[in-house]
Amino acid sequence: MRFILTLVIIIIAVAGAQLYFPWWSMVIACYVIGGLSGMRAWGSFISAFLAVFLLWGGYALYLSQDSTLPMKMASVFNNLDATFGESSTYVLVLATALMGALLGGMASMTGSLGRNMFRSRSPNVEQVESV
Amino acid sequence: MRSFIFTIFLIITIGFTWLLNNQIPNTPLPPLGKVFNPFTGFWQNNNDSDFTIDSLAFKGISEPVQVAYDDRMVPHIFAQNDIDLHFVQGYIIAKHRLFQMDLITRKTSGRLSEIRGESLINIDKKTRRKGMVWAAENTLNAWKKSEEEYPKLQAFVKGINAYISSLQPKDYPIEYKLMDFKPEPWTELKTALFSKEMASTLSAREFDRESTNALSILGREMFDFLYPEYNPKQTPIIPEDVTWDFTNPLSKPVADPKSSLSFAPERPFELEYEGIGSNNWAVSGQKTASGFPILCNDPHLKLTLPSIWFEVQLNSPTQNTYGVALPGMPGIMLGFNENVAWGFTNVGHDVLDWYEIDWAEANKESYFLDGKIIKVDKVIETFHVKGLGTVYDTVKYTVWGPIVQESKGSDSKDLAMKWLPHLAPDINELSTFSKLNKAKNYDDYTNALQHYSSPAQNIAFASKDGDIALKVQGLFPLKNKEQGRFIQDGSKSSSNWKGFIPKEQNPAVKNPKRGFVASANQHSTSPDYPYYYNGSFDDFRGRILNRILSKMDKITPEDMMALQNNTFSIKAEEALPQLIKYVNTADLDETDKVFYNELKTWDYKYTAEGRSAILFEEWYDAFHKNTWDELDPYTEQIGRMPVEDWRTIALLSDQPNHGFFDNATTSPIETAKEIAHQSFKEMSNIVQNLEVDNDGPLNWFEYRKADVTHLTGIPAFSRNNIKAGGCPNSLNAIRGNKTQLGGWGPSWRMVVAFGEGDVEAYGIYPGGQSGNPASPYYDNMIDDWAAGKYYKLHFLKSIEELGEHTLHVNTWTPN
Repeated sequence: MRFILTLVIIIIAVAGAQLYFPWWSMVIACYVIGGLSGMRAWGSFISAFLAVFLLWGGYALYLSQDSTLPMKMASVFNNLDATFGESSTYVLVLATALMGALLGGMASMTGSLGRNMFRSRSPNVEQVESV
Repeated sequence: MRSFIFTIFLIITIGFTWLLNNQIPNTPLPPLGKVFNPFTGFWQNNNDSDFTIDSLAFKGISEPVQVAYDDRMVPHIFAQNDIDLHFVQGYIIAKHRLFQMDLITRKTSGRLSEIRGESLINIDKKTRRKGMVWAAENTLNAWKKSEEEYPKLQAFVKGINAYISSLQPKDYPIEYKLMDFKPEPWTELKTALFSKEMASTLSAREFDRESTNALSILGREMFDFLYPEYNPKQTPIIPEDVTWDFTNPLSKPVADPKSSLSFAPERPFELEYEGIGSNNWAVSGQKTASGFPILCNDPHLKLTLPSIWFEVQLNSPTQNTYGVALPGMPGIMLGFNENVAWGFTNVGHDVLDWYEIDWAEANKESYFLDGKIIKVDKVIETFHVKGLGTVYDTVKYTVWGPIVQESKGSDSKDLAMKWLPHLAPDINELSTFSKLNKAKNYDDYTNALQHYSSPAQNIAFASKDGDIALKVQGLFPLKNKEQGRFIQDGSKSSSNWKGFIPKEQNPAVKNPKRGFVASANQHSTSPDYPYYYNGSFDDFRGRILNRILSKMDKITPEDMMALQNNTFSIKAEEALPQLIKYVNTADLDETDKVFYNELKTWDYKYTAEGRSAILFEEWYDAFHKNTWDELDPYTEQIGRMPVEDWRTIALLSDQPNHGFFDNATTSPIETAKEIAHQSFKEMSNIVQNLEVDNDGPLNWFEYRKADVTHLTGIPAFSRNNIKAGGCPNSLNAIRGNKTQLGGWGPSWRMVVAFGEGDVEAYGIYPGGQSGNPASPYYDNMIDDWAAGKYYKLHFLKSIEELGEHTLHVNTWTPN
């Protein structure tokens, strides 16, 4: 439950931050929420990864509707269109989603690790160290 | 341990973020996070952005303004005063073409390295050394003195900035995102820079260095033989029966107009533009089916995306005008209103002259002028180079103009550039366009033209009340015979231009007997015009245009469209019969015979899918090369100065036994006959090899390759290999990519027919109204343009009239 809640909060926070601040504000949002959520490091990585994956991928997919631009951009980037043809748009959506997801996941995990650093020794941290 | 792991992950996260937010050095990759994130990255540049406003409140306007977009996204702007009209024109042009405006003016001001880094610093330096910014400043200072026009320019600039300041990073045109820079405020100077970019495109062609070298290496007799100034077969722009009621105030030609310099090793800068042409003409009512005049114009420029032109209708209580505007200049450049229509072609007069500087000291800080020592003015140019920091360059200015390229040696000679567009223009220069936009008759047209300075244009005119006219207009230097054809002596003030030709004595014609006026970049006048001028002139298009127009009768707008798309070449018509008669048919194999027979029946038309044009072009090129091979050893010293085609063809037909046809390296004496045959065999070989590579017969359009290239060269934003006929010598003057990036061709085709009722107008250009590569209006007109189709232009009296063709209406209210 906490996982789902965190995921939703990250989606809202990242979207809110990106509407008003530069794109990298999503890193800070994920970091802060990763720290506050109280989840384990891996848990916070996965929640933010999924959240940003859904948000960036979903939004990019929405914006790609009826637009010729993704195909043109696929060509700009190393002629991806030659390799992937019609599905280039989805390759770009996937690339966008993965890029954001990885970054968000890393930031959230770092936030979680940071929080744990200032706590007394807890099972969470042992888990991480064993990883 | 915990803090160690945390630190590692923190560093990785920050590092990853940093990498995605910056351009990775030494790669063409843009900042990936910035570009890909869907909130501010490229995903935001989908096609919705063409129409995101419905109603806007602005401080810049004083009364409501309505803008209706028609189904090709042409805005029809209806304002209640001229200031508001210019404000909204500025806003709208920026909305659709911001990146183009920004890039062109950055190029002209030598600021490309600010966004592209070190690789472009030398191009920037050369631009500044050519005095482009100086020229723009001189121009703007003159414009500011015009009480009538300056407030409109200010309103135009404010309108552009109202749009720019409304932008969030997510709204930036996609090129800004890919190149990672931001729009900056527009300025009045940028508008002046734009006009200087046009001047640099159109009036900076000269062969002073090559002519000087050729004259000293080949001698006077040979020089005159190879490079005569006037083609006797030419039909000049001003008909030959026009007489001149004035005389040249200069006494007889001076003996030696050139400097002591006999050899100039390097061009100060490469010729950037070659072979640009344009056509315009107007036919009087005596030659049309309707009994009213028709005016046509198709300026030929580099084919780019976005296009150089933006279509717009401007309506206020003082004007109702339709036509095309330049993205960065107020008003309409080429167009029409209810009463008049006008069109431009370029004038080839040479207004760029080089002066050899006689340095007075080794450090080149001062020079001799009439025996006196004069100090140079030093201007320090600053460049903020991306990734490198600030770079400085010192440019020395003389009385003639800037030293564009300074040689290293202390005793070496340098050249100063004197260029007409450097000089301050008439303070009312901008009123040329606002007055043309509002003109009602011939008198208004001549009144509008009097202030026009540069780049000089052949301005054709037609009016509803039946007048047609054409004037070669601009500010022209008054020159001695051959002055400015060669490098001038910069140590004597007597080498200077002798003033300017009074504008009322510029070549002009009104309502000629033949019933039409026409220009296609050929010589302005026959040689009996009292003033000397030299320059670069077209030899074939003007002749075919005059020939066809003189034979036409009961002309309809459709006839005029067909003429603009005509692909007939006089060069082929004159050269091919002379060449083909020399082919020794006994020496032809089967394939040769196929080519030979194909050429025998060719109609000299460069159709898109034909092959004959390729055979002729390859044959002619081989013949030209084999004829002038005697000049090859000098080419390196002289520079690129090929003998003109008309001269080559004249030699072929008039003096086929001339010594130039002999190949000096072989013992028999060749004439045009042997060279023509040998060149045919060479052509046959080349074409056969090309067809093997091509896996089948060639066609002209694929062989010529004309691309409409995005301004940054990005292939995905370009349209390559346009399927259309034509060549530089035909009226449909589409040029391929051979010499430079992208093609050249008719950048706007316009046909305006007056009549009893409303004016009927047609137009098309190879692009689209939107500068956004994702927009359906980005390149939507290219295919129709290539096919020679036209759109009927919606010239409205009111917004409501647009009816079912309305795409969108914006209402603007004062804030």
